[in-house]
Amino acid sequence: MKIIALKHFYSLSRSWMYYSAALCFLLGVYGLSMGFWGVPPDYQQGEAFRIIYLHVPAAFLSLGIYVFIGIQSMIFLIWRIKLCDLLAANSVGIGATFTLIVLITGALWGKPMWGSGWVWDARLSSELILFFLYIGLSGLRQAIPSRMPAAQASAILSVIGLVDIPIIHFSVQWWATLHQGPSLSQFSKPTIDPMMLYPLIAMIFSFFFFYVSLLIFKTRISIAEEKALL
Amino acid sequence: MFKLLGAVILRDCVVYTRCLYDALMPLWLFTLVLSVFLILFSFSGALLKEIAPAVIWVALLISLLFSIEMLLKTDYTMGVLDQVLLSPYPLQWLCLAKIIAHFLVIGLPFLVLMPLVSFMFKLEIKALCALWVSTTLGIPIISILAHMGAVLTIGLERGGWLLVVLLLPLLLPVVLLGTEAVFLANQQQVWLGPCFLLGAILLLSLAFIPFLMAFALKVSLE
Repeated sequence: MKIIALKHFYSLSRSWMYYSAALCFLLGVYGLSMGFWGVPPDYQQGEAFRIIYLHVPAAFLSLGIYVFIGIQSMIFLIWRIKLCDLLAANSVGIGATFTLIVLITGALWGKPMWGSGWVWDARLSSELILFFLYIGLSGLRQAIPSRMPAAQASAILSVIGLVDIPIIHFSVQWWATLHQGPSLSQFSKPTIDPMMLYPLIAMIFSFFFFYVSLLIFKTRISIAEEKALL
Repeated sequence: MFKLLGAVILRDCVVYTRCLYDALMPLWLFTLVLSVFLILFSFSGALLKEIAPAVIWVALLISLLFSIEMLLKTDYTMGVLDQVLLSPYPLQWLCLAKIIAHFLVIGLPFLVLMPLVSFMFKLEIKALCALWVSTTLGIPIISILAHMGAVLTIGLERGGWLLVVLLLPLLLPVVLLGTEAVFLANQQQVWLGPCFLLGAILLLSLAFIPFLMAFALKVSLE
């Protein structure tokens, strides 16, 4: 449990960062090479479907990072563990970028495929709301000058925003939307072909390890700043 | 406990109505924004009935959001909130009382104005009913979330615009549902579905937000 002490986290996380980066690189090489060249073109969409190898992992990450921020905020509010606040604070920028990637790649994919780069259906609108939530979160943290109240206010706001995540996740089941339904689910066999599936899963994990290594990197910088300010 | 609630609600209502200009400002802003939309759309010749749901709800959102800043500022600068924290009464009830007082003084006049608004937009009786039900459910939700946002940004000098930035993502579902209800009524369809969802959101926020507000108040005022 001593990992939650900042200096222990600092020393232990150094190797984790490098291993995560290595895994990210290896999985990314496999996923991107297979996804962009190895996998045959889709029978309906042709070559353009390959943007799925960027769009879907970014989507998984954008939701997952917000859930992670929510959990860290709850732990911080209840137990006052400073490491959780640092992790949450550094995740916001990464999560916002991933959400932006989802929106942009989705629009780029949608324009040639379904005729429209943007439509105000449930999933796209709620993903846009998620992006606004990320921006509001970082705005609140920067606006409050003193550190502890800023941390706690951001934590409360991120917990309130958690209510959007189930809406995004289940939006394709609850409403009839332009966005396609879930092909990957934990409880049923995936409806996507295995040859296309494996690079996709590799890319999801690659994005995940990218997030982990970047998060550890930024948190280590935050810890160093804290020590320097003391 | 209810006597305490009643006393705080009465006190907050008196504070709001003491400066009538501030209390009626949201209503006036609402009227002005609606007038701007009406005048502009008269040039394009668009059917007023079609644009009414979205325009009315946007005007509602804007006028309520721009009046939030004054919500807790006076109480904070006069030290009333510190006294409230020090009092032996549970903070959630006092937060709830503030929300109810705000809705009574500032939210209810909007409901009174709705028939005039529907007349200006040439809405039918069905649409007016949908407008009434959706705003009766939607304005308290906006009030509750506005108070939550005000508590989070309390004491900041430029907190006003930050408040709007924080609250817009959280309020978008409410505006969406309200607009959908009036839109369906315009199309002569069943419009109660979005109203039920609005009611659910109202109940959920009424149940959880006062506790979060009390927690945030304790945190930001210590």
